[in-house]
Amino acid sequence: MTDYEGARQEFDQLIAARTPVIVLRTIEQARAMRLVKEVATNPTRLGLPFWMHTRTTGLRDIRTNAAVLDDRGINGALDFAAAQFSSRAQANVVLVDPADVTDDTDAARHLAELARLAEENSGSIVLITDKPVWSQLQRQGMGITLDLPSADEMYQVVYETLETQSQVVKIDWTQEDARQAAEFLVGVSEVEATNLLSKVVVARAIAHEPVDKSDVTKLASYKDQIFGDLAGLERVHLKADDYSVGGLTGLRTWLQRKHEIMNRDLRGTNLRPPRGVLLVGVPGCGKSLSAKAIAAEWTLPLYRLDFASILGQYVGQSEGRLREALETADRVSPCILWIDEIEKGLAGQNDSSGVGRRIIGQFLFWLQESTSRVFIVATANDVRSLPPELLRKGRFNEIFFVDLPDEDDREEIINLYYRRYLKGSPDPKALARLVECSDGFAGADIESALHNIGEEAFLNGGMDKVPPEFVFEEFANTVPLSRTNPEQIEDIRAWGRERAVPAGRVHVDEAPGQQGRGRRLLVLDGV
Amino acid sequence: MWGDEGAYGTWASYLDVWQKDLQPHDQVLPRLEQRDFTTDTWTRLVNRIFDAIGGRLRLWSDAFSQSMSRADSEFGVGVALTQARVGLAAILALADHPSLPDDLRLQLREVVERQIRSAQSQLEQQLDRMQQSGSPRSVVDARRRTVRDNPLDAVLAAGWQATQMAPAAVSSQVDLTKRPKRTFAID
Repeated sequence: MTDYEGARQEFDQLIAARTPVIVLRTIEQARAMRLVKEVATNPTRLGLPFWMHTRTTGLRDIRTNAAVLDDRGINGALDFAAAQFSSRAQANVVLVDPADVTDDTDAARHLAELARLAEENSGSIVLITDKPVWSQLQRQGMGITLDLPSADEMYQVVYETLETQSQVVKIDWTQEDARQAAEFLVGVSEVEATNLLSKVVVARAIAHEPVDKSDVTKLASYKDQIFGDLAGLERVHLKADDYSVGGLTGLRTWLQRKHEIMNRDLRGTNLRPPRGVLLVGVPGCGKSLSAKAIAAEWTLPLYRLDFASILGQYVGQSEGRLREALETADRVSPCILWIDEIEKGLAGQNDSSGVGRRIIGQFLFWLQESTSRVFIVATANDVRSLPPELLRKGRFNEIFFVDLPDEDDREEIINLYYRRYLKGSPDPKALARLVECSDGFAGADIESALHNIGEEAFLNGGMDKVPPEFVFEEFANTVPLSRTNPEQIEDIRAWGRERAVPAGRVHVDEAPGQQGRGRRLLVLDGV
Repeated sequence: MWGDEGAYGTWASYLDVWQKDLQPHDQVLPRLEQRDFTTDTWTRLVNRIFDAIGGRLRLWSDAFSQSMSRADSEFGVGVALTQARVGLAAILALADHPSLPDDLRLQLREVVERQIRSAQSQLEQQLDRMQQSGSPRSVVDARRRTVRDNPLDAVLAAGWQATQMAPAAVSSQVDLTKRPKRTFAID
């Protein structure tokens, strides 16, 4: 990572060394132009003439901003540069976003020739570009990359923007809020950050309200809006119902702690933001729903990484797509990254092409090294096909096992879906009976049964027109996966009991390795 | 003062060479005053100046057409356009020559300006014809941008100087027999 100050110092050194070609690579032209201007106007560099060419302003003297040529084309600027390099020493010409310099083109060759002329008289050509430069041209000089603003730089942007706007609207942010906002804005450009902050301020100003703490988290969702077409990631828009998950008490308690860490300023602590959670277990018990619920609860944007769309048919295509998707996730952070049925994407470790192994390696490396606030919620049904290295500590923060809901969880789930589909609550007696007859049901089975009852109520003109026995019959007629495929369910549960933390309530009377129903807490290092 | 040929002869000799040569000459030319010549002689001299400018414009036009047809990229077209200004600047310099009487200078300047503007507008018309003949819109648009970004008539702007242009091909400026010595900018 090269921050602004680092890039400025490096650029100044290359100017002092009279490097014939200096490539300043960045997607933030305006920031790079400011950097160049800062160096050019530094008293120690006043002896060096500097001109800058942009498409809209043409060629201008950097210090006086006076136009040098009437036309704005780059060819005139290049001719001017050639004249300067021929007639005076230590001239500097900055070209902003020059076209056609990535490959061996007329423009690239012309610039390479111009660089030789510049070198004759200790001149420098500076190229500000977001693209790679033709190798022969690049090799005549040196390159610097100006990365997007770091959290500290972003803090300055936040501070300056809010200070300016404090005349318009009251800002009720503490320094820690501003720090958190800066962390959330990492991954966008300076201009984009200013746009997002301005949007927050204007919304409050129109409503005649102060900018408060809740606006910090709003920034994360606003930030999501600027990444319209995301490579390899699918934006999942949440509905109100996604907030509701029954059961999974252990998981929810654990997530509360992680949420706190996710929002805290971790500078100077050597801690890194939470990496994420792997949810394994019985199908239909709320693993996928949990990803949505976390995003809704944490008010963070939710993205889905679909390994099926990552895999390409050409050599290197899959790896390239995954890299792009993970880089995008880093940029849009803070966010929730949902990887559904992760075993289907990462199970190919034994394929002959080696793509599977490379994908796994790439994913694990990112999981280990990325420090962005991307919280992964990965789900898996068939955990045995997952590579063992994915399951070791240091990858996910925790592996939770989502079992079939127990009585308490079933009661909660029945109440939840009863309210959603039948617009009411069952009486305690009926509820107890439903809990009893839903033994072995997954959350999805309960939802399906209550949805069918809701349809019947709708067609009959209300729940009071539905015979009470119909409700119990519907539950009795539902055949859950635990009955149609008990061996598969038992296999999954056996794995989960041994290797994962229960996502539901912990039953302290159950010992590790014990067979049968219930969930156990296995003490894992660092839990 | 002007050799054996006098002012007329000096100008006439200069014009003969100048109208055939694309490179500008650095030569001190005597000041011309209509009252120093008979009417016939003055008319002949003025005609020679107009003819020389006309001849030089034709040469420029041929050279420009050739460089445009050789250009095989938008960048190449841009280079052809900007390099063409050097030739136009030399013609303008003669039309604006301080040794010419003001009224003649105005007339000459008007003629040259008209020709330059006409050349620029012909380029635009050529693009319209390209579009009408079915050339891809993206190609025509890119060329139009190049033509407008590097207009020939930029040479008519008040501050435009031929010294802003590279005096010769860039490669000829580099002394390939020596390794360049770099002077650092360290205070």
